[in-house]
Amino acid sequence: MDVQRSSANGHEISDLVEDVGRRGRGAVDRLFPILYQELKRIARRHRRRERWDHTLNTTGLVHEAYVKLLGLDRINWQNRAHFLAVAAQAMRRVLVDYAVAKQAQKRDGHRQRVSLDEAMLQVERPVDELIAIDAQLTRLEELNPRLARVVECRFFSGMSIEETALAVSSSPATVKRDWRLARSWLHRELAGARP
Amino acid sequence: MTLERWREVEALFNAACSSSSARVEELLAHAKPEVREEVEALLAQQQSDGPLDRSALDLLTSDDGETVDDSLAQSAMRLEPGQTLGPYVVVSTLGRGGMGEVYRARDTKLDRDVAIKVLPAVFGSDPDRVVRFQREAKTLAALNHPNIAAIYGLEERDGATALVLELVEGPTLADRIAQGAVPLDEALRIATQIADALEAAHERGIIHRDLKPANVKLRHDGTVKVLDFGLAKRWSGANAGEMHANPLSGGGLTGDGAILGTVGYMSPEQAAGRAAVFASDQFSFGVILFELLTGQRPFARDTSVETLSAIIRDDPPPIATLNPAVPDSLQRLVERCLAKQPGHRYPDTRQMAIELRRVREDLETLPRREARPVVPTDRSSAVVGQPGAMARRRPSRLAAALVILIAAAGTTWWLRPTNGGVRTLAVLPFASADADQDVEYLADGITESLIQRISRLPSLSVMARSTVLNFKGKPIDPREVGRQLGADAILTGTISSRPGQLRITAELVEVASGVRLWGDVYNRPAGAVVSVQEEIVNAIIREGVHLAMSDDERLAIGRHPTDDAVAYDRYLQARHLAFRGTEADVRKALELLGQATARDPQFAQAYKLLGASYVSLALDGFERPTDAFPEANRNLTKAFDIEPQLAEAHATRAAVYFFFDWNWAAAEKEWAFAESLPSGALPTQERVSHSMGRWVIGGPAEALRVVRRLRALDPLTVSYAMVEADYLLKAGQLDDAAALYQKTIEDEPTADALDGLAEVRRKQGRFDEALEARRRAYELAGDDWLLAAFKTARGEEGYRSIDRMAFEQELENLHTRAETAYVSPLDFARAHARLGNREEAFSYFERAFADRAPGLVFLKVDTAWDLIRDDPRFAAAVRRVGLP
Repeated sequence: MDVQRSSANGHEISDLVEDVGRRGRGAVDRLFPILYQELKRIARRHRRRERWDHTLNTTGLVHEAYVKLLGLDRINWQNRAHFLAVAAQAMRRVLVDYAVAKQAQKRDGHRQRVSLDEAMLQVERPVDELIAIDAQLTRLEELNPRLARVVECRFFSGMSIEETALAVSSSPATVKRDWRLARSWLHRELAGARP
Repeated sequence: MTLERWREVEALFNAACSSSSARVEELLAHAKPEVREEVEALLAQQQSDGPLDRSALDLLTSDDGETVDDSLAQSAMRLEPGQTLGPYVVVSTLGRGGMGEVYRARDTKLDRDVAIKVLPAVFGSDPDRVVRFQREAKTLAALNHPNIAAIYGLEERDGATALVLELVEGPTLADRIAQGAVPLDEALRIATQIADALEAAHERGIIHRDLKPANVKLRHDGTVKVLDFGLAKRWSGANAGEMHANPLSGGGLTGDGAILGTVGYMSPEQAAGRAAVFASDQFSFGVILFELLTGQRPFARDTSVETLSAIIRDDPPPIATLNPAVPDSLQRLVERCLAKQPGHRYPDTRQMAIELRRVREDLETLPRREARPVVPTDRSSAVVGQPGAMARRRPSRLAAALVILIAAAGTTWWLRPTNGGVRTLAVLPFASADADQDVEYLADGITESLIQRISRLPSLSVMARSTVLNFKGKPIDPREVGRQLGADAILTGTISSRPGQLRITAELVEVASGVRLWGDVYNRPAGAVVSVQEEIVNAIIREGVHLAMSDDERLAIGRHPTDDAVAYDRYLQARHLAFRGTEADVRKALELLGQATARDPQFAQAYKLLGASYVSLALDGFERPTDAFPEANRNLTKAFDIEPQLAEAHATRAAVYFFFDWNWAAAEKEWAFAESLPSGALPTQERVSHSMGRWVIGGPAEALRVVRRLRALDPLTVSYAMVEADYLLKAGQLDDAAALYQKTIEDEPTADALDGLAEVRRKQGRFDEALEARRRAYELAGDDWLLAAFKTARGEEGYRSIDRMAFEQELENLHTRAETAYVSPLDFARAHARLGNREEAFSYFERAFADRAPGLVFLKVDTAWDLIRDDPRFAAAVRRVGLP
């Protein structure tokens, strides 16, 4: 485990998770980069070893990060909800960054070979779609931040309704409602944004 | 879109989604056109699919034109019926197992059916792994044990590897458990065979790593076969994280449930990402046995993350509460298997298997009763798991002083033997010998119980437990301690636990000479706390103190708080938790006490502690007072019905009168009654609330008198010095207050004492000193976010700005917390008052009155209100509480 190389030791992480419980925003900001690094490292490792579509699902990633950090030090389990919430945000960042990198890679690699016609005909590719979702989600966040948190948990981190409820501190019924609305809204915005 | 319009859209959309189509038409017809249009567009999206219906990761990986399913299919070789693989002809597909597709095939040479597992291609790409795998497969093939499904061979074709295995017909243990209750004898018959399989494999150095009911087959002739030995987790590497991440290992479950299905039987070390050891299989075996005996998994939780946490952190619920029919010996065996530390389980799996066989033999030699399902049909009393996520909060200052109400009994006792002059005996807290957290509550409990039982002798008087607690965890020189306490003799001891075993030592030392007057060692089964206590107390009195007792006294001393060992154990755990006093602790205590009173409905002490715990939840602001106080009363009434003279219950009732009913006279009467009971019955800590009452009603001078008497009784308890210093501060005796705070800080710096000192310095106009004390308090509490601000803060202005920041943050915290939990309206009012937000503060008063916030009784004396005290509305509030 190479967390020694990361910016915080287990103690600090567990403190941070507790702080998220007590103080909210500020501590999230500090916990976020640690988690982000950790998730990226795990994802990289998985991809090195095998194709990551093969061995990885996002919930598993979050769990692994959780278990790792837990193994380092005793995170207060009462704050697991806060952990899940921050992890979901970090997960969104990891995946979107990955998509952006992939998009850039393809663009560079294909530049000479793609004819004008082909470029015109090119349909929405999944990486582009993911980046578009991220952008629309940022807009949705301004309308109702809770909906954005739910999308981060459900779509970006693959959490179940119950886990999402735990992460965003609402009831499963509310999560279901929020998810229904967020999904519809994002689908409509994505459809509208397409030419 | 404006936020306002968005809210309308949101409300209408949600309403439309949960209404009938006719009603939807009606709703839409009444909406503003632009809102209606928006909602209709959103509702239209309900029907169609889109990218959000997949997961983000799915979306990303499909970018290469491959879905997860495709890639899986490619990774493992597919076989069709009729196809041959060496001498084997594929007959049909059996399903997808832990490692890939499984087929039924015919061995044409030996003329028997076998199972063939095709391992994913990725498996073959790592030569190291293949070698390791082949080695284990060989060992297993040579093992030839009746309870382990045999491996016949390895076949390789086109770079893919296939395992040829014994085909076991019959349901899996998971199928059997799903069908319903497993009778005790059947459960044992299955368990002994699994244990035998484990024993044989472990002897040859093979760990299963993934033992679970889905991997155990039950043949129709009664033979049990364990499948996938040592193999299941090998192919994916030994990394625990990958195991959760791998959706294939779920054994038939789908989606998120796959993870849940797998982690339920995992050992704590595996759950924490460490490698499996032999004892890991013992743990998984313990989980299976637990499930067989009780019908439920010991660490079942709603989500897999919580399950992982429970495996690592939580104790399993006691089997006896779920199925009283399980014999003690078997319970102990399961508990030992489920020990969190591998080293606390069985050093040798053979020993576990032998013990299990012995249990089974013992049961079979008993007169045979009709085979009854071991799972009680009524599960309503079964309580598993723990309360959901709860915000952790340090007990507030008010609460810290009042934890008190649920604090435990005294510890120093003054024994007056009838023969010859007065003799004093101090009972020191029993120490847990190996700093073992698990037995700490037992150690505390034994100490308390010793004291309580000795205290039933009318000839005894009491000092406080808390004084002696100062010695807890420190090396004790009995002679030194005895001199400090003015005792003639010290009774002390240790307690330690091995799985299933308790070892208790006790000794009595004469202070003047240092001579050990008496000592003994007790080794007892873990469940025997009650009888051990009785023995120790009797031995001490008989042999140690040579105390002459009347028959009545002997009778009194022999009375147990309860005869139910499990109920008593719950009570001791609850007491320990209640004393720690965080919200989660107190709630867990309530749960345990509920179990205790369910087992013994005549357990007065448990009702008393239930009452006190509800009071503490209300005082800490964790629970709406109008909910918690009546609940406290209900339990106190039960306690009184059983034991009318319970002093602590009277003190708690006094607190209810005082903080909730605002009935000062009744509170005073209860306090007086509690004090009139035989001394020693009421711990000094319980009396602090009395002094608070005096403070509120009679002024600081009155309160000072009460607390000074407490300090005289109990000179070493730091918190009384704190309370006295607080009163001195309120009374305006600033120098005395400062001196007392400083002395406390020297003894043991606490955030509360430093805050107190800061307040004194502020009042004295010594702002830089106030700032320094305040800074240290924050540092100590681990609140480092303000520390940067302290660097530049100077003088009165600096102090004010720190104050403002702190209370603005406090307000923010309250708002955040209020989103998910109850927050007392008075806390909001108080924070606003500190910030000088007069209108906002008063806007919360009405609700504070509706909730009957306990803090209202402090209106007259709490300095937090100073900035708005001159307001006529404040005077009206004071009158409304009826403060004299």
